[in-house]
Amino acid sequence: MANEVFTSSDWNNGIPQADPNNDLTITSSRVTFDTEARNIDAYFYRDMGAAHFDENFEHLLTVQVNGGSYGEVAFWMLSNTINDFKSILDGGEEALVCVGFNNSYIYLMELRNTGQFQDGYNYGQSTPAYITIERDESVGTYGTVYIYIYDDSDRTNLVDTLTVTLHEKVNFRYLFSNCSYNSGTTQVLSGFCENLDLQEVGEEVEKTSSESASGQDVVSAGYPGADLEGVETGGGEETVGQREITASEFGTGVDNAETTIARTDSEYGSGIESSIVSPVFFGEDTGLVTELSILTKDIYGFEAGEGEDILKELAGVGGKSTDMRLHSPTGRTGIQSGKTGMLSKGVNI
Amino acid sequence: MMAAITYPAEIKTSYEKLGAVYSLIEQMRLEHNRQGAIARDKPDFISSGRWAEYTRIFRTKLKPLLAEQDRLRDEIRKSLYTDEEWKALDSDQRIEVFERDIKGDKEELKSLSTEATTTLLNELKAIKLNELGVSSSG
Repeated sequence: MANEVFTSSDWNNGIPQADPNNDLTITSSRVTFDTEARNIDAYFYRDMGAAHFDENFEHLLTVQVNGGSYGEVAFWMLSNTINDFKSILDGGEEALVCVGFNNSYIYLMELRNTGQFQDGYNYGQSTPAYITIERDESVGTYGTVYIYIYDDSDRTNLVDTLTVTLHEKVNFRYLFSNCSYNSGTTQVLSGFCENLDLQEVGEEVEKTSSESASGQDVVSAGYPGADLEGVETGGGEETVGQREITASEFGTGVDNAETTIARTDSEYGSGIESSIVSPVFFGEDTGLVTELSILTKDIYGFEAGEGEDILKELAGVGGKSTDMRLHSPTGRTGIQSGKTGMLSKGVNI
Repeated sequence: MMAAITYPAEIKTSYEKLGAVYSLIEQMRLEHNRQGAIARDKPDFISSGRWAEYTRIFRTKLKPLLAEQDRLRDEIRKSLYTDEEWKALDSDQRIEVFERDIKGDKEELKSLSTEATTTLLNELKAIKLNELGVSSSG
């Protein structure tokens, strides 16, 4: 999956929606706050659409508190209201918040009209905490939120787990990567949030599947002009779908070309029946790495169970952030949005 | 969710039970990190998805203990504050009460041995990282 790009249009081109004291510095992967005080409304958020967060989720991010003076700043927050999070709390609105607090603490809070419910850990200053935030709706009446805190980027050394059993089921719209707590006092806090990965599968495309007269699947994706049809080629090599992608879909300066990768059994290992699979990539024909780095991909022509192998292969050649849609010949469509090779539960091929 | 913990007769109060839960969660954490050290020594365990599978199983086994921890904390909170009184506190006061009166000294309590038991810990210890299959869910 892919990290959020804080300088993208999704994130208001990296411009905080509120930052009266210019405390926030935004780069593509990091939101840094410098002496953010408890007497201002400052925030930086992405509008994900109404009720976007309506089920289980697992977000990855790295946070660090660099000290201050009893300050309080949200590194991450889901809400349905745009405001500082004390105003959200005082207004009886709901939010889930990961908070940097009192120079060295990491807190998990559920805000609601009956007060806040929380758990916290004194992690310390100036050391990155690699955290995983999970909502599991199968635990408790309304679900439970967890923050797993690790001190290594591979998330192999668990330091503590924070948990709040939720008091209400709420679907959320706004994702904040910084939000102040305006209590009208002057305490400050410094730190950052970076490498926020929502681990979401990509936008579902409308799709149909039917069996063609030749016994091959015909898979159609809901793109303008998409026309996918299985084609048997010589030498045991199979191309199951092709689609014209126009330059306008990807902006200017992108050629419409394709690169084909053929792989053999030995590359897959045992347990995969297909002898040769040829995912077809569309995009700038300047080499795989470049091509993978810039375009959304539709990949066709592999068997059930091979989705992860393809992702690993792409990662192995240096594929970078991209969106991929993986289409199996059986008509099942898995949609992998994000970083190639970062496998997730979203892959279901 | 089934009761995850068996408390001996001498562990009676919510505070005593909470301390026992902290101790059991800490033992789960230490076992997790023992396996994590193995994974760090053999990076293939991470790249192959084996560590992700272990993490998934670990969390499944940890969650019942965390649910019991939350239940006990809520019980303690309600013994100290009615819902109306809790609502009337400001955010800083709630954090102060939580740290001082509800959560207790977790760092000390978790390091104490306990006679409370959970089968989840034994189940976790039975998992060998190098014997795990690679999950399709990664």
